[in-house]
Amino acid sequence: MLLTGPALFVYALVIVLPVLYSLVLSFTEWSGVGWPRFVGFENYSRMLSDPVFWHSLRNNALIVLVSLIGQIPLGFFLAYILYRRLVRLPAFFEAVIFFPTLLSPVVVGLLFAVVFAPVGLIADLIGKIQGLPLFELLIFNSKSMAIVPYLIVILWMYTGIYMIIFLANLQKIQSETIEAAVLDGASEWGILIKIVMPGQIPVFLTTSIYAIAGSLKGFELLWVMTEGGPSYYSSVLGLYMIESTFSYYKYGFGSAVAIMLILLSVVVIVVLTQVAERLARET
Amino acid sequence: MASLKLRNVAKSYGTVQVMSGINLSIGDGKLVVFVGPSGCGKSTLLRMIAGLEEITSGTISIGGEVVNDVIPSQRGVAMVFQSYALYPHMTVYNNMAFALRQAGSAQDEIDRRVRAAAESLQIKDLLNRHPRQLSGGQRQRVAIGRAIVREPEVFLFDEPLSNLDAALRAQTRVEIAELHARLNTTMIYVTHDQVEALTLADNIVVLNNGRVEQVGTPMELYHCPANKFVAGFIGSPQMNFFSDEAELNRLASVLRIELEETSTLGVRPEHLFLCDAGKSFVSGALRIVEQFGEYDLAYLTSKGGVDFIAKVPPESIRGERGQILGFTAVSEHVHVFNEVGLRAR
Repeated sequence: MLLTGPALFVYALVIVLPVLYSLVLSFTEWSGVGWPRFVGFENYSRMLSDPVFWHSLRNNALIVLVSLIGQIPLGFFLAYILYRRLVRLPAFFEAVIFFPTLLSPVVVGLLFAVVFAPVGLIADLIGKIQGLPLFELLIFNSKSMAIVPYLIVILWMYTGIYMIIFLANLQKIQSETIEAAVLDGASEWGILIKIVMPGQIPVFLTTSIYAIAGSLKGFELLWVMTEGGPSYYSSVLGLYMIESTFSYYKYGFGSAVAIMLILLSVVVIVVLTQVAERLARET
Repeated sequence: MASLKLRNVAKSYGTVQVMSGINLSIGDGKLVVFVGPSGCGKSTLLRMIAGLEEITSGTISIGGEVVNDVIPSQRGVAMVFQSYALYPHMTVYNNMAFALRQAGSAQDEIDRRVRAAAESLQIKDLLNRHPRQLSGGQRQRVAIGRAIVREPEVFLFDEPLSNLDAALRAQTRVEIAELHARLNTTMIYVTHDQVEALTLADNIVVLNNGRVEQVGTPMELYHCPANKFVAGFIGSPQMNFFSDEAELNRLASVLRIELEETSTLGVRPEHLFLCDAGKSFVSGALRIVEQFGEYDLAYLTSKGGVDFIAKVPPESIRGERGQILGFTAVSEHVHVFNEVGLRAR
């Protein structure tokens, strides 16, 4: 206890205290000046009855989904192809796929705002294919579809990081283990499913936790791309929290959204850990 | 059980040729050991036989059939790797059953073969364990068991004892010899340890720089090495070589043999006997004596500056460092190599 004291102190200072502070603040109404006024669960009930909250939560769920069933499996699949050298120039592809991860979200946001603009690159391409020179891409006008460009961008931008994580772990597998499987008559698919995948379950779990945490708290790329708009169509909980807190000076309400984000992260990560443990036991 | 033939097998990586002109014929049921120093190509040759490495030219035949284009799992070979290469997430049973499942064998047949192999290797109680729960020796048995259940025509062992401690290595070596005697299957065994090579092999293939230096029985290689490399590689401690002109003249006159100026003369440490320095075949200043209980090894330097070793009875040398000691040898135990290192006598 004595030896872990300094670390626990720092952890308490930068993690536990701010969370507790937010928790306390979430039960108050406070504009940043004067004394906070205790309002009980009013912020929470207002939040849960706000359609913007539910739409932002829906968008967050889609982002988590794209991370879990898009970025991670795709990252693993690409890593496996490179690890097994099933393509020529694996080092080139590794660099190309990882490159977007190195870019600033602001740069990417600005770039793709233009790409998906009503008369941007995508609109131009579709127009050329359909022979309609005045074609306008109105995807952002659709409440249900406005988040889709962002989903495409995060798939492009962050798959590389999962590929690198998986590649590093795949390289820890002894080449002789794969060769033994080849001699035992396993096909490439058999090697992937029966030999390689089971050993990667802990990596899938770690990357999933990383992806969920990143998906729930991320907002900067979206802020540059759409500012959550038009209206709130492409908003996420992170943006909803920031706007409530710093645009409308509702510190209590913003804290309630923050607490909700923390609870959501914890619940999803606990469920995921249970699933991964069961999977590991079964294999 | 099958014979194995290699004809003019060569291997290149780009423009770098690592093996060339490999011709070997391995009879049914023989245990052949590939031996040589690190980087000589012995593991590459084994992997080419397994199909894990492609050959650049030549042919490999197993059981009379050319297998150059046959995939590894269809060649009828099973391999035991240096690192065991067990599947870490599978139990011992599933590790051993994996190849049979891939081949679509019936569950009854899989169960019968796995349990029979486990029984013969005394690992029956380990079938439900994972590799991480096993010792090095147990893992090696599982790796051998995984090969046995496939009932291959040729077993390939790639330095299987390298990761074991000395005592376990000796024990497992005997078990492999017993396994070969029991199964009577063709086995190829790669090692850099000449003790393993000499004790296990029906025939030894000595490799150096991607070429076969000599093929023969252990005793042929020990008594009649084809060249200086084989003479130096087989036998421990290694053979002493003398090529100093003055020393050669003296040795030639003592042994009453004809020697050319460019000859090299070789005598094994165990074939040198202590004698009076005046009547000696070779003499040298004592540097150090190592005592092994059963025998002593004396490290000496001759007048010509050549370091040599003599294996002598225990405690037969009581001299001090720098003392001049004389040794003799019978002429049958003296090997002569010509200027290019080939055996001349």
